[in-house]
Amino acid sequence: MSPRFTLDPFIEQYAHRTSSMLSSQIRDLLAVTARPDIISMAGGLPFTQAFDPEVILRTVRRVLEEDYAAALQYGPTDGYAPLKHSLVEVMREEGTVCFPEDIMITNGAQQGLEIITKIFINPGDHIIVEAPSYVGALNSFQSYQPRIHAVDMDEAGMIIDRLRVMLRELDAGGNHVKFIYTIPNFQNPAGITLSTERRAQLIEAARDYDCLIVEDNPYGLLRFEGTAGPTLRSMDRERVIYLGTLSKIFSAGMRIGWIAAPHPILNKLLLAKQSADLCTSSFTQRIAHIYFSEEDWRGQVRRLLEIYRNRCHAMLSAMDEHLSGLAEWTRPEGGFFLWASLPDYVNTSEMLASAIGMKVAYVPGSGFFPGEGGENCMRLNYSYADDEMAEEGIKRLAKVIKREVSLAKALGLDKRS
Amino acid sequence: MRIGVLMGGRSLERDISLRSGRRVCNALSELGYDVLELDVDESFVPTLKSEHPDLVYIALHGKFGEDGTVQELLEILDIPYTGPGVFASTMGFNKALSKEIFLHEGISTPPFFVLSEATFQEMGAVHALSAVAEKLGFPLVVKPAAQGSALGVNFATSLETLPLAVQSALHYDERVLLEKFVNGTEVAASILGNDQLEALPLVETVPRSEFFDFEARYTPGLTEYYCPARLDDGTTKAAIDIALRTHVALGCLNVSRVDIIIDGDGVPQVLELNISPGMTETSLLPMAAEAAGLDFKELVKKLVSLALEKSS
Repeated sequence: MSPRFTLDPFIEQYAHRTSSMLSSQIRDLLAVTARPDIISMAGGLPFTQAFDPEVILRTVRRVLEEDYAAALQYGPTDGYAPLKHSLVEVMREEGTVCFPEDIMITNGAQQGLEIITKIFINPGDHIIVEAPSYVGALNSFQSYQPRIHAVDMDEAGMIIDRLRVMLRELDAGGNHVKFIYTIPNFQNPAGITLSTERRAQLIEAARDYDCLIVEDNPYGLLRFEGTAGPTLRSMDRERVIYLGTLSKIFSAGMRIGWIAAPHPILNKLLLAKQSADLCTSSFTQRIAHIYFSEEDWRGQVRRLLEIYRNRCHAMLSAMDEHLSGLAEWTRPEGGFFLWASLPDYVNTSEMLASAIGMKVAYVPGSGFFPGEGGENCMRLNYSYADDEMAEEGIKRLAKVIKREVSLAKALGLDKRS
Repeated sequence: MRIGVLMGGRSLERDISLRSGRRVCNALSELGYDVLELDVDESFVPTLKSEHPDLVYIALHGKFGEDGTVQELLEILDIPYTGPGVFASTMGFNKALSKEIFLHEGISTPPFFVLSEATFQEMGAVHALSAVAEKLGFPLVVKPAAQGSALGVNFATSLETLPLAVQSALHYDERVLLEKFVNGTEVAASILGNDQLEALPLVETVPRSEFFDFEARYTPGLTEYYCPARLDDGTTKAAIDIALRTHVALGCLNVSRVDIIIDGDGVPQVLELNISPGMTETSLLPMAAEAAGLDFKELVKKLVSLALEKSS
C-alpha cells in the first residue's frame, strides 16, 4: 500500500462548529490587495496616521512613570475601573446615560460579540440580523451554530414590517428569537443609518416578541453629516446589550471595546470572558484612560471627521462622475463604508479577479449575507484613500464594470434573471 | 556562493509563492549559501544589478514568474536561474499553446478548443458554444488559458451553465480553454534533470468527497494523496514515459511537473506542464522527492546544482 498524505491530517478531529470556518478564494484574492500597486477600497482601516505621535508618547510615558507595575500585571476581568468612568463620558457624548457598573471592558467589541453569542446561543437557536450585516459578527454567530435570519434594509435601515412578519412566523412555529443584531449607525457594510422612527419601532417589536437587541455601535461618533438618532440603549436599557469600541475614535491596535448590559447578563458575560482571556490588557486600558481623561479626544474626533467627510465626498463625486448608469450606491452620513449595487447579472465575487488585474479591489457583497444575497453588490471603503486615489480607484472600477457588463451581454447572461 | 530567492511577485499566487520561497530560503541557509530574498517590484532589476547574485532561485508562481517574463530578464542580465528557460516557460504557462505542442508531438491530451474574449465581444462566439459542446460533449472543464493554479477553473455540465463558466475563466485571462472532461485517476509526475532525466515517484490526487468536484479537489484537507500512485507497473511506466516526453517536447531543463489523467482504459493523457512546481509543506514535488529518498534540503540542493550545470 502506498503511503497516504493529506494536506490536513487532523481533518476528522475538528469540532462540528468549525465546518463554517472555511478559507475562501475571495480571501486568497484579497490577500493580494496589500500590494502597493493596487488601489484597495476593500479595507476597513481607521486612518491612524491622523494621530499625533507625541500625544500617544506622552500618554504611554505617563502610564510607565506613574503606574508601571500595575500596567504590567493582570487586571480585573470586568476592566480597569477608572477607564469605565472615561467610557461613560464617551457614551454621554452620544446622549446615552450609563454608569460605570453597567460596563464591562472587552478585548475589542469583537470579543463582546463572541461572548454574547457564547452565553446565549445553543445550536439551532434563532437570531435575526440585518441583510447585509457585519461579517465578523456573522462569523462569531455561525461558530455557535444558530439559525440566522436576515431582514432586508432600505435607506432608513432594517425594514421593521418585514422584521415583524419574520418574528410572527417564527413565533407561530414555536420558535423564540434570542436576539436581534443591529448596527444602527453607518452600518458596516451598507453605510445605512436606522432612522429615529424605526429605532422606536424596533424596540417595540422586540418587546412584543420578548427578544433582546444587540446594538453594535462602532461608528456612532463618526457622524460627519445630519443629526444623530438616540442610541437603542438609551431607549430601553433592560432589553438592549450595547457594544462600544475605541477602535474607530482612538486605536484599533489597543483592542479596547466594552459592553453595557443589564446586570444579570453582565454577570454571566463576566464568567464567559474570564474563561476566554482573564482580562483585557492592563497596559492599553491605562493608556486609553489617560488619553480619554486628559487629552483633547473630542478635538481629535473632530479632526478625524473632517478627514472622513472629505474622503467620503471625494469618493462620492468620483462615483457620480464615473459610475452613473453602471451602479447605484448609498450615501453615508458617517462611518467608513458605502454599498454599491450593480446590474443583477453581475457577480462581484467572480469579477474581483478582473478588478485585481486592473489594480483595484473591493469586497464582494455576498460574504455579508448569512445565506444568499448581495451577489451583485460590493462594499467600498473611503476612510483610507486620499482624493487622488479615490478618483483613480473609481475610474479603474468603472472600467472593470463596463467590461463585465459588455462581456455578460456578449454571453447572453444579461437576459437570464 | 550567493543565491537570490525570487518570491512573492504580483500574481494572484503571491501567498503560495511566499510560502514556497521561505522554505527554500531556510533550506539554502542551512546548506551554507548566502541567501538574498528578492520580491518582484520596481527595484527588482536594480537590485539584481547591484547585488549580482551568483544564481537566482525562482520560487514564483503564476504570471511573470512562470510565463517566461523573469526568465528573459535573467537571461539578459546573465544570471543563472533554476527551472526551465524562456521557451519552456512561455509554452508551459499557456495551456492553449502547450496543448497544441502536445498534439503536434503525438502526446495524448483531452480534446479542446480555445476562444478569446474578442470572439465573444466582437464576433458573437456565444453562438458557437453549442457546436463546442456537440464536438466535445459534456461535462466540460473550462479554464483560463494562462493561469497558474485552479483559479477560474469551472465545470460545465450543460449548455445552460457554459456561458457562466466561460465568463468566470475570462476574469483570469483573455483566452478560455474548453476541454473535454476525462474521468479517471489524476497523477502528477515530477521530472528532474538536464540531459539525464529522472522521474520521481508519481503522486496520485484523490478528492475525499464521493463525487468529483473542484471544491473538494482544491480545499486543503478535502484532498488525499498517495505516493507512489496506486497504479499497476504498466500504467505507471506509461505515465512516466509520457511525462518525460512532455518535458522534452517543451524543451524543459532542470525541473517540471506534468499533470496527467489516467482515463478509463488506463491510457495516460497530459493535462498540463508546470515549470515552477510549488515547494510548500503540502506541495507535490517535495512529496514525490521524499518518496524517492530526497528530503527537502537535498531536493533544493539538487535543483541548485542542476541550474549551475545548465548555465555552464
